[in-house]
Amino acid sequence: MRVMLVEDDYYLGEAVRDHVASLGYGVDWMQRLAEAREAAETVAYELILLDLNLPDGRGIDFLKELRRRGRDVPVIILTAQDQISSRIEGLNSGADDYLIKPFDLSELSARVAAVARRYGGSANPLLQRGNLELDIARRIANIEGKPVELTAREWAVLERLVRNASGIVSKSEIEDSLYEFGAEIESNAVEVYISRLRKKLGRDTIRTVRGVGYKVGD
Amino acid sequence: MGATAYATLTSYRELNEAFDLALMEAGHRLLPLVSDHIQGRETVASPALRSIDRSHDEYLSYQVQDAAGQLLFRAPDAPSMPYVQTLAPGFKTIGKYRLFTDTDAATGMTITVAETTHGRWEAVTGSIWAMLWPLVVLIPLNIVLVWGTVRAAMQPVTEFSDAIASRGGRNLAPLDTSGQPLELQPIASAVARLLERLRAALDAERAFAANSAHELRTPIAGALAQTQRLIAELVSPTDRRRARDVETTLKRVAVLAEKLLQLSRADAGIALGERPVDVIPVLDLVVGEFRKHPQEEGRIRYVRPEGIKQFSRVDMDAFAIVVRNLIDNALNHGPRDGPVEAIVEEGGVIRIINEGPVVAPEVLAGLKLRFARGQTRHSGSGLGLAIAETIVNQIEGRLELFSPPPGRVTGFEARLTLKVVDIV
Repeated sequence: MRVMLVEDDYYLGEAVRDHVASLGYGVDWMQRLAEAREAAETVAYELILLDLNLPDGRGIDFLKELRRRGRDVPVIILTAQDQISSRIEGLNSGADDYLIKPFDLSELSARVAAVARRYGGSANPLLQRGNLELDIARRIANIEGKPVELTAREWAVLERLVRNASGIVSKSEIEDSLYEFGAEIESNAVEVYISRLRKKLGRDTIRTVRGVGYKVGD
Repeated sequence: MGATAYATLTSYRELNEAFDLALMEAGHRLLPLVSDHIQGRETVASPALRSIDRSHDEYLSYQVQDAAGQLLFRAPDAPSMPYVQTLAPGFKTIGKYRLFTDTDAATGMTITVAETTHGRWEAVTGSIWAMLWPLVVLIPLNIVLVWGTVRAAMQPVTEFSDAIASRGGRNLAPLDTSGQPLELQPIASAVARLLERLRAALDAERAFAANSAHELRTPIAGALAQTQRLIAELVSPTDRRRARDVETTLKRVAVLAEKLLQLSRADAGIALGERPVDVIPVLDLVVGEFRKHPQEEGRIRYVRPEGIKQFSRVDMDAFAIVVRNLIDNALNHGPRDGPVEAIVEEGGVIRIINEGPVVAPEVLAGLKLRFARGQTRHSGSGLGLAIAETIVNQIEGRLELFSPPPGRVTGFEARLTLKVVDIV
């Protein structure tokens, strides 16, 4: 999943970026709204973590612009404003969730997983694919009841595929989900992760659609 | 009215005196004439006197008596019997007559001039009425005119007073002081300036609360997040444990900062709302927030009648602070993983109930004081209930604590009763 983080505070922004990246996601960290607007024009983000008090404007205005342009990317507001009135304004403006600072990073992970699950078309935290059972929220995979350990990047690839279980995900889409701006991507990185997943979960878990991409299931 | 009565009495007295004087003058003029007439003739009837025109009403009449009281002469309309038996000079009122008696010392003759009180009364009352009737008309007219003039003059003041009275407790919009009478403009201007200063002070407080929330919470958030990243990256168990201690302390700082911000806002008097709001959606939102916390998942049982609305004149944020503190209190001071009930009842009642041992009455009585703590595992700030109480007092509500809750043998209940408003 490709994530945009809009947060002007250096220490908080750095910690959140590192935490979200440790979950296997590609994170682009913007400290100004102008940068965020520019990035949103070029990248199809799958999640935005948005601070409301930014040096060059209000995060809520950026959110409203996104929604006005028909962009339905999930947005989680991160803010120090705890008033109900601010929360209502945020949710009415199109935010999917609202997290008050200071927050536990584990809390952030749970909210991110919940939003991702909602947008993946399934509110069910457990997914069943043959003998593969996935608990997306807790990032646990079981093959015939036995737990399988996956790295963060492997989970990120698997989650990207599972969230689009009805369709095919291209290699470039997987790369966009994994890597932030400026990251050096090896040309066969995706193939390597797909191969590792097949070894751990079973060859038939992920199918290659030649020339198009990859698909979970049959 | 008193002056009019005095003037009436004075007029009556003066008119009577004038009439008496005229009566006396008539007697003095008539006596010598009649005396000469009597001495020149042998009978009472005198052709000279009989030639006087008698076509008008006679208010004056007279009798002349000798020293022995014998009637010597009388006017044609005077009675044949003397008016008075005694001949003492001066004024008397007998029956319907006002009499003046005087004696000619030379001849010993006494004249009694009589005036009918009817005529006099007619003249006096006519004069007084001529004086009074303009007052009878003018005084009420003046009252109406004065009342109308004062009312019109006071209209801007009344409107100004009504404009202030109709404002709610939080309406500090500028006042229109134009149209006030010159004498009241200083007062109106002073009130407007006071409202301006109050508005500026409240705006400054709100901006401070918002800015201080951001300025205080963000660095704490940064420190906490960095500490949690450090915990994730450290390998040594000793180092991780120490980092966790830092994390725990930072979380305590965060909670205390939160409570102090809430207390500051509560003390600033933010609780009263400009107009009634339905608090149920706010309660729904707050309960929903708690349910999102992984560690509180499944603990809160929320019960409310379908479609219930509770309108109260409370600021939404202030209400959220109250219920958040009550639910937080119940989650923290009840058994770990124990259930918490949030129950809405008609009449503005919201009950927050947690399980646990009964709290002693003497402890219960002091729980709403600042920095008061109960005897539970949780080491909180001791401010949650005090903050809730401060806000509830501002909105004329009630916060009651029960342990055990009514109908139960253990547990704790915080019952909030709002002053509900009927919205038609």
